[in-house]
Amino acid sequence: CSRLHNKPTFSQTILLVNLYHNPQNTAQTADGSHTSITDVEVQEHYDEFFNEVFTEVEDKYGEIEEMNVCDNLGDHLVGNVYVKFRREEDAEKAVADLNNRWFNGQPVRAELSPVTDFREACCR
Amino acid sequence: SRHTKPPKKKPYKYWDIPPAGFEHITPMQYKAMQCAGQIPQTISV
Repeated sequence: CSRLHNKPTFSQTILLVNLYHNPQNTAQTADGSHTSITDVEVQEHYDEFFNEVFTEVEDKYGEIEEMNVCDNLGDHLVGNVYVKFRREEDAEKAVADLNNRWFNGQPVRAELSPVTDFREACCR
Repeated sequence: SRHTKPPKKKPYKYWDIPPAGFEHITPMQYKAMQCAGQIPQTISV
């Protein structure tokens, strides 16, 4: 895959690039071994992150149909969050506004995504 | 007298937190500066 995907002009789904930072991925020691962050702590951190993103996005921009967080380590995917709205116009509004917001000390990078079915989202 | 509760919203931990030292610029300006190579793409924690 060339990763040069066509960016749609209309979509229900938005991509928030590298929004989620798994504490286990960032907290590695020099030899690559993990520090003492337990799976439970990672889960709690994730739940808090998920709730915060979901609540704010739904409150502010519109009804969410589905939200997915990438936790794999591919550098083009890591921490990507996909939010599928019920309405296309909400997705458009969200992208425009989110690009003007901060999240966790970083600017949000939002764009429309062609993905509509996450089970079919594998790139061929 | 009316007893209207002020809207109580749980403060967010992540939303609208700018990077330290960049509170005075907008996220759009920050990204433009990253593209121009004036600040690194990612700041390691």
